[in-house]
Amino acid sequence: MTLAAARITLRLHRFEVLAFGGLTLLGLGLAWLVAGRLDALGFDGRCLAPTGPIPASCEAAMNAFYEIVNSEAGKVTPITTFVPFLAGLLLGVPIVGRELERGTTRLAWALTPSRMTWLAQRLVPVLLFVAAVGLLSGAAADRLLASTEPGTDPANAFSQFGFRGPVLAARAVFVFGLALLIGTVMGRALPALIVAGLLAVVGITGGATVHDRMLLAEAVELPEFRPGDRPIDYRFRAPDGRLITWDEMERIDPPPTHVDTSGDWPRMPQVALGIPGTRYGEVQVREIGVLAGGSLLAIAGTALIVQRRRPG
Amino acid sequence: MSHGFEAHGLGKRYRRRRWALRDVDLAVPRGSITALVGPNGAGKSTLIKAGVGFERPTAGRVLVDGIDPWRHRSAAIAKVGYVPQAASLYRELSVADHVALAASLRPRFDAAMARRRLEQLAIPLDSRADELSGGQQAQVGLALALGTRAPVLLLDEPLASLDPLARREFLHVLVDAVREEGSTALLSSHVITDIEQACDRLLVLGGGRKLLDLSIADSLAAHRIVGRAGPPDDIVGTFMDTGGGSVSLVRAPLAAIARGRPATLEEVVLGHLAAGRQPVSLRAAA
Repeated sequence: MTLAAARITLRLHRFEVLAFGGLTLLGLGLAWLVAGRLDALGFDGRCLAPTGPIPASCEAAMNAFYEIVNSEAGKVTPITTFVPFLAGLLLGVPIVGRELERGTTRLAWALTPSRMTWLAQRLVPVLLFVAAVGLLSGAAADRLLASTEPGTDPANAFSQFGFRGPVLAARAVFVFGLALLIGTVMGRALPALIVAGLLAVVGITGGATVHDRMLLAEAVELPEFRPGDRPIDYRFRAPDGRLITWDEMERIDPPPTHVDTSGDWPRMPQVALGIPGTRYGEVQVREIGVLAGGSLLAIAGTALIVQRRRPG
Repeated sequence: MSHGFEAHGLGKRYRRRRWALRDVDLAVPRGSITALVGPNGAGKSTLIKAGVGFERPTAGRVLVDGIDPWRHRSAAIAKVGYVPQAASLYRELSVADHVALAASLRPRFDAAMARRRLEQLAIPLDSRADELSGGQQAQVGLALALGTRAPVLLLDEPLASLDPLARREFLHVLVDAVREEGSTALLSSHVITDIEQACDRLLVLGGGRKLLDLSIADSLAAHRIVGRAGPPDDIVGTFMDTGGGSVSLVRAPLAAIARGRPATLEEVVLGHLAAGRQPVSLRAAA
Protein backbone atom coordinates (compact mmCIF):
# COMPACT_ATOMS: atom_id res chain seq x y z
CA MET A 1 0.00 0.00 0.00
CA THR A 2 1.34 3.40 -0.96
CA LEU A 3 1.42 6.56 1.12
CA ALA A 4 -0.84 8.18 -1.48
CA ALA A 5 -3.48 5.51 -0.88
CA ALA A 6 -3.21 5.98 2.90
CA ARG A 7 -3.55 9.74 2.50
CA ILE A 8 -6.68 9.33 0.38
CA THR A 9 -8.22 6.96 2.92
CA LEU A 10 -7.55 9.33 5.82
CA ARG A 11 -9.00 12.16 3.73
CA LEU A 12 -12.20 10.13 3.33
CA HIS A 13 -12.47 10.12 7.13
CA ARG A 14 -11.01 13.58 7.67
CA PHE A 15 -13.63 14.80 10.14
CA GLU A 16 -13.51 11.70 12.33
CA VAL A 17 -9.70 11.56 12.24
CA LEU A 18 -9.37 15.22 13.22
CA ALA A 19 -12.06 14.97 15.91
CA PHE A 20 -10.74 11.80 17.54
CA GLY A 21 -7.11 12.82 17.08
CA GLY A 22 -7.86 16.12 18.80
CA LEU A 23 -9.82 14.50 21.63
CA THR A 24 -7.06 11.95 22.19
CA LEU A 25 -4.39 14.62 22.42
CA LEU A 26 -6.67 16.63 24.70
CA GLY A 27 -7.13 13.62 26.99
CA LEU A 28 -3.40 12.93 26.97
CA GLY A 29 -2.51 16.53 27.77
CA LEU A 30 -5.11 16.85 30.52
CA ALA A 31 -4.09 13.53 32.06
CA TRP A 32 -0.46 14.65 32.32
CA LEU A 33 -1.51 18.06 33.61
CA VAL A 34 -3.80 16.67 36.33
CA ALA A 35 -1.31 13.95 37.25
CA GLY A 36 1.40 16.58 37.57
CA ARG A 37 -0.77 18.67 39.90
CA LEU A 38 -1.54 15.62 42.03
CA ASP A 39 2.13 14.64 42.25
CA ALA A 40 3.05 18.17 43.28
CA LEU A 41 0.84 17.89 46.39
CA GLY A 42 3.18 15.36 47.97
CA PHE A 43 0.25 13.22 49.12
CA ASP A 44 2.12 9.96 49.02
CA GLY A 45 3.17 6.98 51.11
CA ARG A 46 4.25 9.15 54.05
CA CYS A 47 0.69 10.41 54.44
CA LEU A 48 -1.05 7.14 53.56
CA ALA A 49 0.82 5.01 56.07
CA PRO A 50 2.05 7.36 58.80
CA THR A 51 4.13 5.85 61.51
CA GLY A 52 3.09 8.45 64.05
CA PRO A 53 0.42 11.12 64.22
CA ILE A 54 -0.78 12.44 60.87
CA PRO A 55 1.16 15.60 60.08
CA ALA A 56 -0.94 18.73 59.44
CA SER A 57 0.64 19.06 56.01
CA CYS A 58 -0.78 15.64 55.08
CA GLU A 59 -4.30 16.63 56.03
CA ALA A 60 -4.13 19.72 53.84
CA ALA A 61 -2.56 17.69 51.05
CA MET A 62 -5.25 15.02 51.38
CA ASN A 63 -8.06 17.55 51.07
CA ALA A 64 -6.45 19.12 48.01
CA PHE A 65 -5.70 15.66 46.58
CA TYR A 66 -9.29 14.40 46.74
CA GLU A 67 -10.57 17.74 45.50
CA ILE A 68 -8.47 17.34 42.34
CA VAL A 69 -9.24 13.62 42.01
CA ASN A 70 -12.98 14.22 42.20
CA SER A 71 -13.26 17.37 40.16
CA GLU A 72 -10.44 17.27 37.60
CA ALA A 73 -9.39 13.63 37.20
CA GLY A 74 -13.06 12.69 37.18
CA LYS A 75 -13.51 14.78 34.05
CA VAL A 76 -10.45 13.44 32.23
CA THR A 77 -11.24 9.75 32.79
CA PRO A 78 -14.37 9.74 30.55
CA ILE A 79 -12.27 11.17 27.71
CA THR A 80 -9.58 8.52 27.95
CA THR A 81 -12.18 5.79 28.46
CA PHE A 82 -14.78 6.54 25.79
CA VAL A 83 -12.83 8.20 22.95
CA PRO A 84 -11.14 4.93 21.85
CA PHE A 85 -14.46 3.06 21.83
CA LEU A 86 -16.23 5.79 19.89
CA ALA A 87 -13.30 6.03 17.47
CA GLY A 88 -13.50 2.29 16.83
CA LEU A 89 -17.24 2.44 16.30
CA LEU A 90 -17.50 5.59 14.21
CA LEU A 91 -14.48 4.77 12.05
CA GLY A 92 -15.24 1.07 11.65
CA VAL A 93 -18.79 1.28 10.33
CA PRO A 94 -18.23 3.64 7.38
CA ILE A 95 -15.16 1.95 5.91
CA VAL A 96 -17.27 -0.45 3.85
CA GLY A 97 -20.83 0.38 5.02
CA ARG A 98 -20.82 4.00 3.90
CA GLU A 99 -19.20 3.14 0.58
CA LEU A 100 -21.88 0.56 -0.11
CA GLU A 101 -24.56 3.05 0.90
CA ARG A 102 -23.22 5.83 -1.33
CA GLY A 103 -22.42 3.52 -4.23
CA THR A 104 -18.73 4.43 -4.40
CA THR A 105 -17.90 0.72 -4.32
CA ARG A 106 -19.25 0.56 -7.90
CA LEU A 107 -16.45 2.83 -9.01
CA ALA A 108 -13.73 1.38 -6.80
CA TRP A 109 -14.51 -2.31 -7.33
CA ALA A 110 -14.68 -1.85 -11.08
CA LEU A 111 -11.26 -0.19 -11.03
CA THR A 112 -9.41 -2.74 -8.95
CA PRO A 113 -8.68 -6.28 -10.07
CA SER A 114 -8.38 -7.18 -6.37
CA ARG A 115 -11.04 -6.16 -3.87
CA MET A 116 -8.60 -7.18 -1.16
CA THR A 117 -6.23 -4.46 -2.31
CA TRP A 118 -9.09 -1.99 -2.00
CA LEU A 119 -10.04 -3.29 1.45
CA ALA A 120 -6.44 -3.16 2.67
CA GLN A 121 -6.09 0.42 1.44
CA ARG A 122 -9.25 1.40 3.29
CA LEU A 123 -8.66 -0.66 6.40
CA VAL A 124 -5.00 -0.43 7.38
CA PRO A 125 -4.56 3.35 7.82
CA VAL A 126 -7.76 3.64 9.87
CA LEU A 127 -6.96 0.55 11.92
CA LEU A 128 -3.54 1.99 12.77
CA PHE A 129 -5.15 5.29 13.69
CA VAL A 130 -7.68 3.60 16.01
CA ALA A 131 -4.88 1.56 17.60
CA ALA A 132 -2.86 4.74 18.13
CA VAL A 133 -5.88 6.47 19.70
CA GLY A 134 -6.30 3.47 22.01
CA LEU A 135 -2.63 3.30 22.97
CA LEU A 136 -2.34 7.03 23.68
CA SER A 137 -5.58 7.02 25.68
CA GLY A 138 -4.40 3.92 27.52
CA ALA A 139 -1.10 5.61 28.35
CA ALA A 140 -2.97 8.69 29.58
CA ALA A 141 -5.18 6.52 31.79
CA ASP A 142 -2.09 4.73 33.16
CA ARG A 143 -0.45 8.05 33.98
CA LEU A 144 -3.58 9.26 35.74
CA LEU A 145 -3.89 6.03 37.72
CA ALA A 146 -0.32 6.28 38.97
CA SER A 147 -1.17 9.65 40.49
CA THR A 148 -4.76 9.08 41.66
CA GLU A 149 -3.82 5.85 43.46
CA PRO A 150 -0.51 6.62 45.14
CA GLY A 151 1.45 3.49 45.95
CA THR A 152 -0.07 1.58 43.03
CA ASP A 153 2.23 0.41 40.28
CA PRO A 154 0.14 0.48 37.07
CA ALA A 155 2.27 -2.33 35.61
CA ASN A 156 1.35 -4.61 38.52
CA ALA A 157 -2.20 -3.61 39.35
CA PHE A 158 -5.65 -4.68 38.24
CA SER A 159 -7.17 -1.28 39.01
CA GLN A 160 -9.38 -0.10 36.12
CA PHE A 161 -8.61 -3.26 34.17
CA GLY A 162 -9.64 -2.88 30.54
CA PHE A 163 -9.89 0.88 30.68
CA ARG A 164 -6.19 1.69 30.57
CA GLY A 165 -2.95 0.53 29.03
CA PRO A 166 -2.70 -1.62 25.91
CA VAL A 167 -5.94 -3.49 26.78
CA LEU A 168 -7.84 -0.29 26.08
CA ALA A 169 -6.28 -0.18 22.60
CA ALA A 170 -7.14 -3.86 22.05
CA ARG A 171 -10.75 -3.18 23.04
CA ALA A 172 -10.91 -0.21 20.67
CA VAL A 173 -9.56 -2.36 17.82
CA PHE A 174 -12.09 -5.08 18.68
CA VAL A 175 -14.94 -2.55 18.51
CA PHE A 176 -13.49 -1.30 15.22
CA GLY A 177 -13.46 -4.83 13.75
CA LEU A 178 -17.00 -5.50 14.91
CA ALA A 179 -18.24 -2.18 13.48
CA LEU A 180 -16.44 -2.89 10.21
CA LEU A 181 -18.15 -6.27 9.90
CA ILE A 182 -21.62 -4.99 10.78
CA GLY A 183 -21.25 -2.09 8.33
CA THR A 184 -20.28 -4.53 5.60
CA VAL A 185 -23.17 -6.88 6.32
CA MET A 186 -25.81 -4.14 6.54
CA GLY A 187 -24.48 -1.79 3.88
CA ARG A 188 -26.07 1.21 5.58
CA ALA A 189 -24.14 3.43 7.94
CA LEU A 190 -26.70 4.60 10.51
CA PRO A 191 -28.48 1.29 11.21
CA ALA A 192 -25.08 -0.40 11.29
CA LEU A 193 -23.87 2.17 13.80
CA ILE A 194 -26.76 1.41 16.15
CA VAL A 195 -26.43 -2.37 15.82
CA ALA A 196 -22.64 -2.30 16.11
CA GLY A 197 -22.86 -0.03 19.17
CA LEU A 198 -25.23 -2.44 20.91
CA LEU A 199 -23.17 -5.48 19.95
CA ALA A 200 -19.96 -3.78 21.11
CA VAL A 201 -21.48 -3.13 24.55
CA VAL A 202 -22.76 -6.71 24.74
CA GLY A 203 -19.43 -8.05 23.46
CA ILE A 204 -17.29 -6.08 25.88
CA THR A 205 -19.45 -6.72 28.96
CA GLY A 206 -19.99 -10.36 27.97
CA GLY A 207 -16.26 -10.77 27.45
CA ALA A 208 -15.58 -9.20 30.84
CA THR A 209 -18.01 -11.65 32.47
CA VAL A 210 -16.33 -14.62 30.80
CA HIS A 211 -12.99 -13.22 31.82
CA ASP A 212 -14.11 -12.89 35.43
CA ARG A 213 -15.18 -16.55 35.45
CA MET A 214 -11.80 -17.58 34.11
CA LEU A 215 -10.12 -15.53 36.81
CA LEU A 216 -12.32 -17.12 39.46
CA ALA A 217 -10.89 -20.48 38.50
CA GLU A 218 -7.40 -19.03 38.79
CA ALA A 219 -7.96 -17.14 42.06
CA VAL A 220 -5.63 -17.90 44.92
CA GLU A 221 -5.88 -17.34 48.64
CA LEU A 222 -4.53 -13.94 49.57
CA PRO A 223 -3.58 -13.15 53.16
CA GLU A 224 -4.70 -9.57 52.53
CA PHE A 225 -5.70 -7.44 49.57
CA ARG A 226 -2.95 -5.06 48.60
CA PRO A 227 -3.32 -2.15 46.20
CA GLY A 228 -3.41 -3.62 42.71
CA ASP A 229 -4.69 -7.07 43.68
CA ARG A 230 -7.91 -8.18 42.04
CA PRO A 231 -10.44 -9.33 44.65
CA ILE A 232 -12.54 -12.13 43.21
CA ASP A 233 -14.53 -13.67 46.06
CA TYR A 234 -14.58 -14.75 49.67
CA ARG A 235 -14.73 -18.34 50.89
CA PHE A 236 -14.73 -20.11 54.25
CA ARG A 237 -12.20 -22.64 55.30
CA ALA A 238 -14.01 -25.79 56.41
CA PRO A 239 -12.66 -27.89 59.30
CA ASP A 240 -11.36 -30.39 56.74
CA GLY A 241 -9.37 -27.64 55.02
CA ARG A 242 -11.60 -27.21 51.96
CA LEU A 243 -12.59 -23.75 50.76
CA ILE A 244 -16.38 -23.55 50.72
CA THR A 245 -19.04 -21.01 49.77
CA TRP A 246 -21.41 -19.21 52.12
CA ASP A 247 -24.27 -21.65 51.31
CA GLU A 248 -22.09 -24.67 51.97
CA MET A 249 -20.90 -23.10 55.21
CA GLU A 250 -24.53 -22.54 56.28
CA ARG A 251 -25.35 -26.18 55.64
CA ILE A 252 -22.39 -27.37 57.70
CA ASP A 253 -22.75 -24.76 60.40
CA PRO A 254 -26.35 -23.40 60.46
CA PRO A 255 -26.80 -19.86 61.80
CA PRO A 256 -27.81 -19.62 65.48
CA THR A 257 -31.46 -18.97 66.29
CA HIS A 258 -30.73 -16.65 69.25
CA VAL A 259 -29.89 -13.13 68.28
CA ASP A 260 -27.57 -12.54 71.20
CA THR A 261 -25.24 -15.35 70.16
CA SER A 262 -25.06 -14.38 66.50
CA GLY A 263 -21.89 -12.36 67.10
CA ASP A 264 -19.88 -15.59 67.21
CA TRP A 265 -21.15 -16.75 63.85
CA PRO A 266 -19.86 -17.59 61.30
CA ARG A 267 -17.29 -19.54 63.19
CA MET A 268 -15.22 -20.74 60.20
CA PRO A 269 -12.36 -18.44 59.19
CA GLN A 270 -13.02 -16.32 56.11
CA VAL A 271 -10.51 -16.43 53.27
CA ALA A 272 -9.99 -13.80 50.58
CA LEU A 273 -9.59 -15.07 47.01
CA GLY A 274 -8.07 -12.95 44.33
CA ILE A 275 -5.45 -12.50 41.69
CA PRO A 276 -2.26 -10.87 42.89
CA GLY A 277 -1.38 -7.68 41.08
CA THR A 278 1.91 -9.22 39.97
CA ARG A 279 -0.07 -11.33 37.47
CA TYR A 280 -1.44 -8.22 35.73
CA GLY A 281 1.02 -8.35 32.82
CA GLU A 282 0.26 -11.97 32.03
CA VAL A 283 -3.54 -11.52 32.30
CA GLN A 284 -3.30 -8.39 30.20
CA VAL A 285 -1.46 -10.23 27.41
CA ARG A 286 -4.10 -12.97 27.43
CA GLU A 287 -6.93 -10.43 27.23
CA ILE A 288 -5.19 -8.65 24.35
CA GLY A 289 -4.76 -11.98 22.59
CA VAL A 290 -8.46 -12.82 22.87
CA LEU A 291 -9.50 -9.36 21.67
CA ALA A 292 -7.00 -9.45 18.80
CA GLY A 293 -8.35 -12.86 17.79
CA GLY A 294 -11.90 -11.50 17.78
CA SER A 295 -10.78 -8.51 15.72
CA LEU A 296 -9.02 -10.74 13.20
CA LEU A 297 -12.11 -12.91 12.86
CA ALA A 298 -14.25 -9.84 12.20
CA ILE A 299 -11.80 -8.57 9.60
CA ALA A 300 -11.63 -11.98 7.94
CA GLY A 301 -15.44 -12.09 7.85
CA THR A 302 -15.46 -8.64 6.28
CA ALA A 303 -12.97 -9.72 3.63
CA LEU A 304 -15.09 -12.75 2.80
CA ILE A 305 -18.22 -10.63 2.37
CA VAL A 306 -16.42 -7.97 0.34
CA GLN A 307 -15.21 -10.69 -2.04
CA ARG A 308 -18.70 -12.01 -2.63
CA ARG A 309 -21.22 -9.21 -2.31
CA ARG A 310 -22.61 -6.85 -4.93
CA PRO A 311 -21.55 -3.24 -4.75
CA GLY A 312 -24.25 -0.93 -3.40
CA MET B 1 -11.21 -13.93 -30.97
CA SER B 2 -13.43 -11.36 -32.66
CA HIS B 3 -15.78 -10.16 -29.94
CA GLY B 4 -15.18 -7.75 -27.09
CA PHE B 5 -18.35 -8.67 -25.22
CA GLU B 6 -20.45 -11.82 -25.53
CA ALA B 7 -23.44 -13.37 -23.79
CA HIS B 8 -24.42 -16.99 -24.27
CA GLY B 9 -27.84 -18.12 -23.04
CA LEU B 10 -27.57 -15.47 -20.35
CA GLY B 11 -30.28 -15.42 -17.71
CA LYS B 12 -30.54 -13.57 -14.44
CA ARG B 13 -33.36 -14.10 -11.97
CA TYR B 14 -33.67 -12.06 -8.80
CA ARG B 15 -34.88 -13.66 -5.59
CA ARG B 16 -36.32 -16.68 -7.41
CA ARG B 17 -39.07 -14.62 -9.03
CA ARG B 18 -38.56 -12.08 -11.80
CA TRP B 19 -36.22 -12.77 -14.68
CA ALA B 20 -34.22 -9.62 -15.41
CA LEU B 21 -32.56 -11.32 -18.35
CA ARG B 22 -33.56 -14.50 -20.15
CA ASP B 23 -31.88 -16.49 -22.90
CA VAL B 24 -29.82 -13.58 -24.12
CA ASP B 25 -27.30 -14.39 -26.84
CA LEU B 26 -25.26 -11.56 -28.24
CA ALA B 27 -21.84 -10.66 -29.50
CA VAL B 28 -20.43 -7.15 -29.63
CA PRO B 29 -17.69 -6.92 -32.30
CA ARG B 30 -14.32 -5.54 -31.30
CA GLY B 31 -13.81 -1.88 -32.06
CA SER B 32 -17.53 -1.11 -32.19
CA ILE B 33 -19.62 1.26 -30.10
CA THR B 34 -22.87 -0.50 -29.38
CA ALA B 35 -25.91 1.26 -28.01
CA LEU B 36 -27.84 -0.82 -25.50
CA VAL B 37 -31.40 0.46 -25.54
CA GLY B 38 -34.54 -0.54 -23.72
CA PRO B 39 -37.13 0.68 -21.24
CA ASN B 40 -36.63 0.65 -17.48
CA GLY B 41 -36.41 -2.92 -16.24
CA ALA B 42 -35.36 -4.24 -19.63
CA GLY B 43 -32.19 -5.72 -18.14
CA LYS B 44 -29.63 -3.23 -19.49
CA SER B 45 -27.95 -2.53 -16.17
CA THR B 46 -28.04 -6.21 -15.25
CA LEU B 47 -26.30 -7.12 -18.49
CA ILE B 48 -23.59 -4.51 -17.96
CA LYS B 49 -23.13 -5.41 -14.29
CA ALA B 50 -22.75 -9.06 -15.28
CA GLY B 51 -19.93 -7.87 -17.54
CA VAL B 52 -18.11 -6.28 -14.59
CA GLY B 53 -18.66 -9.33 -12.39
CA PHE B 54 -21.12 -7.49 -10.15
CA GLU B 55 -23.99 -9.89 -10.96
CA ARG B 56 -23.82 -13.66 -11.01
CA PRO B 57 -25.71 -15.12 -13.98
CA THR B 58 -28.48 -17.54 -13.06
CA ALA B 59 -28.04 -19.22 -16.44
CA GLY B 60 -25.51 -19.01 -19.25
CA ARG B 61 -22.49 -16.78 -19.13
CA VAL B 62 -20.93 -13.50 -20.16
CA LEU B 63 -17.48 -13.14 -21.69
CA VAL B 64 -15.49 -9.93 -21.64
CA ASP B 65 -12.63 -10.07 -24.09
CA GLY B 66 -13.01 -13.84 -23.85
CA ILE B 67 -12.96 -13.96 -20.04
CA ASP B 68 -15.85 -14.94 -17.77
CA PRO B 69 -16.04 -12.13 -15.16
CA TRP B 70 -17.82 -14.24 -12.57
CA ARG B 71 -15.30 -17.05 -12.65
CA HIS B 72 -12.18 -14.96 -13.26
CA ARG B 73 -13.07 -11.58 -11.85
CA SER B 74 -9.55 -10.20 -11.50
CA ALA B 75 -8.62 -11.04 -15.07
CA ALA B 76 -11.92 -9.72 -16.41
CA ILE B 77 -11.79 -6.46 -14.44
CA ALA B 78 -8.35 -5.85 -15.94
CA LYS B 79 -10.07 -5.85 -19.34
CA VAL B 80 -12.92 -3.52 -18.41
CA GLY B 81 -13.36 0.21 -17.99
CA TYR B 82 -16.72 0.81 -16.29
CA VAL B 83 -18.78 3.94 -15.94
CA PRO B 84 -21.61 3.36 -13.45
CA GLN B 85 -25.15 4.76 -13.72
CA ALA B 86 -24.54 7.53 -11.20
CA ALA B 87 -21.00 8.88 -11.31
CA SER B 88 -20.36 7.23 -7.89
CA LEU B 89 -17.55 9.62 -7.04
CA TYR B 90 -16.25 10.17 -3.51
CA ARG B 91 -17.71 13.53 -2.56
CA GLU B 92 -14.94 14.23 -0.02
CA LEU B 93 -12.19 13.81 -2.61
CA SER B 94 -10.90 16.16 -5.26
CA VAL B 95 -10.72 15.22 -8.93
CA ALA B 96 -6.95 14.80 -8.59
CA ASP B 97 -7.53 12.48 -5.61
CA HIS B 98 -9.80 10.34 -7.79
CA VAL B 99 -7.06 10.00 -10.37
CA ALA B 100 -4.57 9.10 -7.61
CA LEU B 101 -7.08 6.62 -6.17
CA ALA B 102 -7.52 4.93 -9.53
CA ALA B 103 -3.75 4.77 -9.95
CA SER B 104 -3.38 3.13 -6.54
CA LEU B 105 -6.09 0.57 -7.26
CA ARG B 106 -5.39 -0.26 -10.88
CA PRO B 107 -2.02 -1.51 -12.08
CA ARG B 108 -0.88 0.36 -15.22
CA PHE B 109 -3.57 3.04 -14.83
CA ASP B 110 -2.65 5.91 -17.14
CA ALA B 111 -2.99 8.81 -14.69
CA ALA B 112 -1.33 11.26 -17.07
CA MET B 113 -3.88 10.51 -19.77
CA ALA B 114 -6.79 10.83 -17.36
CA ARG B 115 -5.48 14.19 -16.09
CA ARG B 116 -4.88 15.40 -19.64
CA ARG B 117 -8.43 14.55 -20.68
CA LEU B 118 -9.86 16.32 -17.65
CA GLU B 119 -7.72 19.40 -18.28
CA GLN B 120 -8.87 19.46 -21.90
CA LEU B 121 -12.43 19.61 -20.60
CA ALA B 122 -11.47 22.44 -18.22
CA ILE B 123 -12.45 20.37 -15.19
CA PRO B 124 -10.47 21.75 -12.24
CA LEU B 125 -8.39 18.97 -10.70
CA ASP B 126 -8.46 20.55 -7.26
CA SER B 127 -12.26 20.74 -7.09
CA ARG B 128 -14.09 18.37 -4.79
CA ALA B 129 -16.40 15.94 -6.54
CA ASP B 130 -19.48 17.43 -4.87
CA GLU B 131 -18.61 20.84 -6.32
CA LEU B 132 -18.81 19.55 -9.91
CA SER B 133 -21.87 19.66 -12.16
CA GLY B 134 -23.52 16.41 -13.18
CA GLY B 135 -21.88 16.64 -16.59
CA GLN B 136 -18.45 17.18 -15.07
CA GLN B 137 -18.93 14.25 -12.69
CA ALA B 138 -19.85 12.03 -15.63
CA GLN B 139 -16.75 13.23 -17.47
CA VAL B 140 -14.59 12.37 -14.43
CA GLY B 141 -16.14 8.88 -14.40
CA LEU B 142 -15.38 8.53 -18.11
CA ALA B 143 -11.82 9.82 -17.72
CA LEU B 144 -11.20 7.22 -14.99
CA ALA B 145 -12.61 4.46 -17.19
CA LEU B 146 -10.52 5.61 -20.15
CA GLY B 147 -7.42 5.88 -17.95
CA THR B 148 -7.58 2.13 -17.42
CA ARG B 149 -6.80 1.74 -21.16
CA ALA B 150 -9.08 -1.29 -21.00
CA PRO B 151 -10.02 -2.94 -24.29
CA VAL B 152 -13.71 -3.03 -23.28
CA LEU B 153 -15.71 -0.07 -21.98
CA LEU B 154 -19.04 -0.72 -20.28
CA LEU B 155 -21.12 2.40 -19.70
CA ASP B 156 -24.30 2.06 -17.67
CA GLU B 157 -26.59 4.96 -18.61
CA PRO B 158 -23.99 7.66 -18.01
CA LEU B 159 -26.11 10.16 -19.97
CA ALA B 160 -29.25 9.78 -17.86
CA SER B 161 -28.91 12.91 -15.77
CA LEU B 162 -27.06 15.11 -18.25
CA ASP B 163 -28.36 18.11 -20.20
CA PRO B 164 -28.19 17.89 -24.04
CA LEU B 165 -24.94 19.83 -24.26
CA ALA B 166 -23.24 17.70 -21.61
CA ARG B 167 -24.53 14.55 -23.32
CA ARG B 168 -23.11 15.65 -26.64
CA GLU B 169 -19.76 16.50 -25.06
CA PHE B 170 -19.63 13.17 -23.21
CA LEU B 171 -20.33 11.20 -26.38
CA HIS B 172 -17.79 13.23 -28.34
CA VAL B 173 -15.07 12.34 -25.80
CA LEU B 174 -16.17 8.71 -25.78
CA VAL B 175 -16.16 8.32 -29.56
CA ASP B 176 -12.77 10.03 -29.90
CA ALA B 177 -11.24 7.83 -27.22
CA VAL B 178 -12.70 4.59 -28.56
CA ARG B 179 -11.56 5.35 -32.11
CA GLU B 180 -8.11 6.34 -30.84
CA GLU B 181 -7.63 3.27 -28.64
CA GLY B 182 -9.50 0.79 -30.82
CA SER B 183 -11.51 -0.39 -27.83
CA THR B 184 -15.01 -1.84 -27.72
CA ALA B 185 -17.80 0.08 -26.00
CA LEU B 186 -21.24 -0.98 -24.83
CA LEU B 187 -23.28 2.08 -23.89
CA SER B 188 -26.71 1.76 -22.35
CA SER B 189 -28.98 4.74 -22.78
CA HIS B 190 -32.55 5.97 -23.07
CA VAL B 191 -31.60 8.87 -25.32
CA ILE B 192 -31.84 7.50 -28.83
CA THR B 193 -31.24 10.72 -30.77
CA ASP B 194 -27.79 11.19 -29.21
CA ILE B 195 -26.56 7.66 -29.59
CA GLU B 196 -27.53 7.56 -33.26
CA GLN B 197 -24.55 9.78 -34.02
CA ALA B 198 -22.13 8.11 -31.63
CA CYS B 199 -22.83 4.39 -32.00
CA ASP B 200 -22.43 2.01 -34.88
CA ARG B 201 -24.53 -0.84 -33.51
CA LEU B 202 -27.93 -1.09 -31.85
CA LEU B 203 -28.91 -3.68 -29.29
CA VAL B 204 -32.51 -3.49 -28.05
CA LEU B 205 -33.56 -5.29 -24.88
CA GLY B 206 -37.15 -5.60 -23.69
CA GLY B 207 -38.57 -7.65 -20.85
CA GLY B 208 -35.17 -9.19 -20.28
CA ARG B 209 -34.89 -10.52 -23.84
CA LYS B 210 -32.93 -9.43 -26.85
CA LEU B 211 -35.27 -7.83 -29.38
CA LEU B 212 -32.83 -6.49 -31.95
CA ASP B 213 -29.08 -6.70 -32.58
CA LEU B 214 -27.92 -5.00 -35.78
CA SER B 215 -25.63 -2.28 -37.01
CA ILE B 216 -27.27 1.15 -36.99
CA ALA B 217 -27.16 1.23 -40.78
CA ASP B 218 -28.78 -2.20 -41.09
CA SER B 219 -31.39 -1.29 -38.48
CA LEU B 220 -32.48 1.70 -40.53
CA ALA B 221 -32.31 -0.13 -43.83
CA ALA B 222 -34.27 -3.13 -42.60
CA HIS B 223 -37.32 -1.28 -41.34
CA ARG B 224 -39.98 1.08 -42.70
CA ILE B 225 -42.93 2.92 -41.25
CA VAL B 226 -46.39 2.43 -42.69
CA GLY B 227 -49.61 4.18 -41.75
CA ARG B 228 -51.76 1.12 -42.28
CA ALA B 229 -50.90 -2.34 -41.27
CA GLY B 230 -49.75 -4.55 -44.09
CA PRO B 231 -49.68 -8.31 -43.89
CA PRO B 232 -49.53 -9.19 -40.17
CA ASP B 233 -46.33 -11.18 -40.50
CA ASP B 234 -44.52 -8.02 -41.71
CA ILE B 235 -45.40 -5.95 -38.67
CA VAL B 236 -42.82 -5.63 -35.95
CA GLY B 237 -44.91 -3.34 -33.73
CA THR B 238 -47.51 -0.62 -33.77
CA PHE B 239 -47.29 2.57 -31.77
CA MET B 240 -48.69 6.08 -31.67
CA ASP B 241 -46.75 8.83 -33.39
CA THR B 242 -46.44 12.35 -32.04
CA GLY B 243 -49.65 13.39 -33.80
CA GLY B 244 -51.63 10.74 -31.96
CA GLY B 245 -52.04 8.55 -35.04
CA SER B 246 -51.13 4.91 -35.14
CA VAL B 247 -48.16 3.78 -37.22
CA SER B 248 -46.51 0.43 -37.70
CA LEU B 249 -42.90 -0.56 -38.03
CA VAL B 250 -42.55 -3.21 -40.72
CA ARG B 251 -39.63 -5.30 -41.84
CA ALA B 252 -38.45 -4.14 -45.21
CA PRO B 253 -37.14 -6.84 -47.46
CA LEU B 254 -35.75 -5.50 -50.68
CA ALA B 255 -38.94 -6.27 -52.57
CA ALA B 256 -41.02 -4.08 -50.29
CA ILE B 257 -38.60 -1.19 -50.03
CA ALA B 258 -40.92 1.27 -51.70
CA ARG B 259 -43.68 0.70 -49.11
CA GLY B 260 -44.18 3.41 -46.46
CA ARG B 261 -41.37 5.75 -45.48
CA PRO B 262 -37.91 5.14 -43.98
CA ALA B 263 -37.94 4.63 -40.22
CA THR B 264 -35.91 6.74 -37.84
CA LEU B 265 -33.77 4.96 -35.27
CA GLU B 266 -36.20 6.00 -32.57
CA GLU B 267 -39.07 4.42 -34.52
CA VAL B 268 -37.09 1.23 -35.01
CA VAL B 269 -36.57 1.03 -31.25
CA LEU B 270 -40.19 1.90 -30.46
CA GLY B 271 -41.52 -0.58 -32.96
CA HIS B 272 -39.52 -3.39 -31.41
CA LEU B 273 -40.40 -2.36 -27.87
CA ALA B 274 -44.09 -2.13 -28.82
CA ALA B 275 -44.11 -5.66 -30.15
CA GLY B 276 -46.52 -7.58 -28.01
CA ARG B 277 -47.38 -4.52 -25.95
CA GLN B 278 -50.05 -1.82 -26.03
CA PRO B 279 -49.34 1.05 -28.48
CA VAL B 280 -46.70 3.39 -27.14
CA SER B 281 -46.74 7.14 -27.70
CA LEU B 282 -43.58 8.47 -29.30
CA ARG B 283 -43.77 11.55 -27.11
CA ALA B 284 -44.23 9.60 -23.91
CA ALA B 285 -41.47 7.16 -24.74
CA ALA B 286 -39.00 9.88 -25.66
